[in-house]
Amino acid sequence: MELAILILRTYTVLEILILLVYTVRHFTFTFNRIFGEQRLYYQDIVDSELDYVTILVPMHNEEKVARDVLTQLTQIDYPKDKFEVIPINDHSKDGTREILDEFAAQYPYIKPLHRDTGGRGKPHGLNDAMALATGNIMIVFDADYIPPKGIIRDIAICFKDPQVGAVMGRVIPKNTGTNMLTRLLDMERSGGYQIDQQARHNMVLIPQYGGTVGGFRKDVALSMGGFNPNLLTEDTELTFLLFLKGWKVVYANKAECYEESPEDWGVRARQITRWSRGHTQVMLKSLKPLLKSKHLAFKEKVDGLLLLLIYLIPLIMIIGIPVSLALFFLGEMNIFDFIFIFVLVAAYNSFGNFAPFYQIGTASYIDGVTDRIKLLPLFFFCFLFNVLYISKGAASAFLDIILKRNPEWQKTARFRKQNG
Amino acid sequence: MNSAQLPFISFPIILTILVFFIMIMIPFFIAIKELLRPEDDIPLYIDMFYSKDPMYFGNSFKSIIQNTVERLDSPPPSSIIRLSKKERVEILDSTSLPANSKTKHMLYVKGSFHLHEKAVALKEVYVKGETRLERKSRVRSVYCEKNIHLSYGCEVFRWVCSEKNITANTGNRLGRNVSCNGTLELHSRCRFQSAFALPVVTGESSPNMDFEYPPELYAKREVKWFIHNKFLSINCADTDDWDTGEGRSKLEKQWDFNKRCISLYPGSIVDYNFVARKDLLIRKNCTVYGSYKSYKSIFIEKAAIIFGDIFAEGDIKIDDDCIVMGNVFSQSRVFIGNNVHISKPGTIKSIIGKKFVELGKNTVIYGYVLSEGEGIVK
Repeated sequence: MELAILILRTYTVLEILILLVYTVRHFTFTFNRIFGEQRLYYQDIVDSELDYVTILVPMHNEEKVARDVLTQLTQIDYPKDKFEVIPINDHSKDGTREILDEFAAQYPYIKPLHRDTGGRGKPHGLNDAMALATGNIMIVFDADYIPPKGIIRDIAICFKDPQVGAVMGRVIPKNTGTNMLTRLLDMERSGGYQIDQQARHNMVLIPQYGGTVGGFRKDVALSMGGFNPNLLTEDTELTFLLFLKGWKVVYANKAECYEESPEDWGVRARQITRWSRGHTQVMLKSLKPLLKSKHLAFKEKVDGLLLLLIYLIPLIMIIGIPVSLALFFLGEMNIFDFIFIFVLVAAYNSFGNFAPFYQIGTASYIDGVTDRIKLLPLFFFCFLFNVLYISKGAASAFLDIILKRNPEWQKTARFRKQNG
Repeated sequence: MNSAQLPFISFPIILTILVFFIMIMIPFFIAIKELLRPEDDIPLYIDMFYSKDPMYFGNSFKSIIQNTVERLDSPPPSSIIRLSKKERVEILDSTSLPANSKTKHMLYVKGSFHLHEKAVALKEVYVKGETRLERKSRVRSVYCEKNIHLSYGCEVFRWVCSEKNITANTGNRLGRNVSCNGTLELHSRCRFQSAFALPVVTGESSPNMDFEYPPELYAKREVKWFIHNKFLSINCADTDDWDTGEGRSKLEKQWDFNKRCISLYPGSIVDYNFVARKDLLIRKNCTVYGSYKSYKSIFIEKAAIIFGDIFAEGDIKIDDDCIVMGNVFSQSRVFIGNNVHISKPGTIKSIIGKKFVELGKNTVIYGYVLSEGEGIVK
């Protein structure tokens, strides 16, 4: 019994310490954005010798959105002889194929890849498209994205830096005003990009390649075996593989692109579960190599470690609830008699619980949209929702290993009304 | 047992619970109000038509003029056009503003424009002919279809742009942007934030730029980074060979690792990309067929030739007589020496120093120079 109590108490103390570390991380990033020096991205470089780029647009049953993204890509300002677009029709059963062929007939640089056989999912599609691609710089947009005219140049230019292996742009929801979920997701995205990613760029840490509105070097990706179809977050895997091999990922806050965020809580639940499951898969694969890597500075290792573990935090918190209850009913909650622990708990309850809220609020402030900060209290519900589904995703990743199963890729549903 | 005997339902307790509940709910009321009657629910703005243009200010102004004044069949001497707000524009033939005079309206000049000593034009000026600004005159912005000449000590508050050439004499303050399609001649002590021209010159110099980057060297880049030691990483096709005795002895012949910085020996020729985590010194007469980067500062000694791009978290200092065919990008300051050549005719490259850029004498740059702080000619 004493051993059980000792384990429960140790767990509680560790949980508190871990949450405090993340609190410090949130505040460090937020303060960096407000008071710290902001590093330049490369978009100001004017260079007439632009690299040839291949733009990849993975699509599965995307007839609602395919026309919009392709139309936008016909209007970009990149020299017409320096790029190609490969829309990847991945086993679509709707009118996606016809739309792609219609564009291909009109624009010679649009070269659809129709995949009717072989494995399904984004990693499979990207691997096949890379085999066809002419360029070495791959730029990826999901099908529901609306790229602006200048974004290809802004993304491609950073590959002039010889150490850059991938770049990530900023995602901005287009359907912000649809309902409560889209409004909260809009703010969550702001916090993630405007604070988290930019602060990591500023502090030369580990900005994350997000798999869309971003680019990577094809030869480097291929040298690492291409994308693993058994992983649900091929983007996170690429981020860590690049850093482990001596490459860097940079964040381009000004390479902004509209997306359509989920309008339905069920769709959001599936999306965040997939992210969590995939991220945890990558964590299990990359943790040891990260700590051993000779290519990374100490601060990059610390940031990488915290980034890898982040989807485990809700699971740790959920497990912490029965642990706390057990300690309470056993009359063993007196661990807080230690002044040090008390201070930590008090500090966490005073500031820590609100750290992500500060981050989101600060992001809205930097973006110059302050009225939406009134919605911050509603993130309490979002927090509960995220804890539940992120924990589910993380637990599934562990079960995948125990049961030796391969997860299936699930596409996020689209909500856009069709033109006409 | 009646209710009065139950302390948990006594009035003060009920009141306390009620107040507590209201206090907890207040932030939610505000949030729910914003949800039901939104005041801020439009997507964040993205300029879908933004395209990087180093002559943006001038080109944008010209486009406004073309869509307003130049669409009028017989423009009256004074018209109203819309910039960020409605502006009165005076339409004039060739104009000469006398010394110490001041004009408060925007000007559209069909002929040449001459701003005499200490005269001030407080609004934008569009000139179809030649433009000449005399000593210590001041102007908000000028767009000129022909040449612009700025005498000693002129001040441009915003920008100056020409379709042909610009000559800026000593001590000019050139605002946020100075740009032209032809040659931009900047004399000593000129200050600016960004400059673009083909070329920007700080003197008269016509070097032999008739050499090319050997194309086979592009193919030699590899997908691996080799760590020589904790201060130097190398990227090229022979990465595997660097671990062998032969590779190591080759590196030791090229590089000097000391406590303060790592340096390439004078006259070395290297054909790989590299990244340094210390200060990096490229000694005189070195030739680098590749791009490189330092997490500290980079110093390039006299007469080095760099075929790739240069990136640094710290300062970049390029000494006299160097030639750089790529971009120069620093998160701190850039110092360019005398007789330095950046890029070549027909190619556009950039020099970007976040905090400061200093250009030496007789420097030739085909392309763009930018600093968030200040650019200055020595």
